[in-house]
Amino acid sequence: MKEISFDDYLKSFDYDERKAMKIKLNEMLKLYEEGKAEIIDIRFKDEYEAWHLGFGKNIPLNELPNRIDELDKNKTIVTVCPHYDRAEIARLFLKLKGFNARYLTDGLLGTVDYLRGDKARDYIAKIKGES
Amino acid sequence: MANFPENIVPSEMKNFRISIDDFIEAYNKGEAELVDIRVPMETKVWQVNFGLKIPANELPKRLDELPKDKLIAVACPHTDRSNMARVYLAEQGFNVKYLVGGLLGLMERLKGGMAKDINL
Repeated sequence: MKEISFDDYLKSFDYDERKAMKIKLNEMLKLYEEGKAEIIDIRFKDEYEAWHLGFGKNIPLNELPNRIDELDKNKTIVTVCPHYDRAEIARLFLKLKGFNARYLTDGLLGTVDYLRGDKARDYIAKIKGES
Repeated sequence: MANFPENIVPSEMKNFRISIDDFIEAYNKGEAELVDIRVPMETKVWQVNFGLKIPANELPKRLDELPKDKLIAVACPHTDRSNMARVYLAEQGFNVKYLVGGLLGLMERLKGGMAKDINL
């Protein structure tokens, strides 16, 4: 785990990093299914209580600095929020801390819109090992 | 390094961003400056004819080009990179927000007769 200063990170920001910082829904679902990613919903507690995904876990953005030990250093950390505004802040924070972190461009709303009906059934079956 | 997410509370979220209309109003009053943080190749393809052009990776070295007495509205095509730049500039002590809707939204807003809504 190598921390990087914000200045150094920005100076090294290039076309490759611009791509690497993001992850699309299908890739996230696949990595999660393979046990290679952690999905972190960084919304505030009240938002999470109102509705949340049946997988992944909630660490509110402002609790992230104190709860960073809960994250698996060997996995890709995918940060998610309704769209991607806050997920990007979380991604940036974790990246500077040395994690392999990416934010979900499709957001939670894109995720729940995609995982409807049979797609929800099939995905949940897959991650629970029932397929 | 500062633990910048710690101070983020729900009521503050809206202070991170500025709408296109609010930006245009502040810009016209001389209270805001636009900073286009796209990379040089993108800026070559199409330019905004006002504001500053400082690629995100050049920000650390070019902080002195930014106004300290104005609100800085950072922008990229949408809002991915501008949010990152906002966090950075806020840490450096600037009064900064990212432009909701991005440069694409701004161009959409300033089309046709509405282009004169911004005082250049």
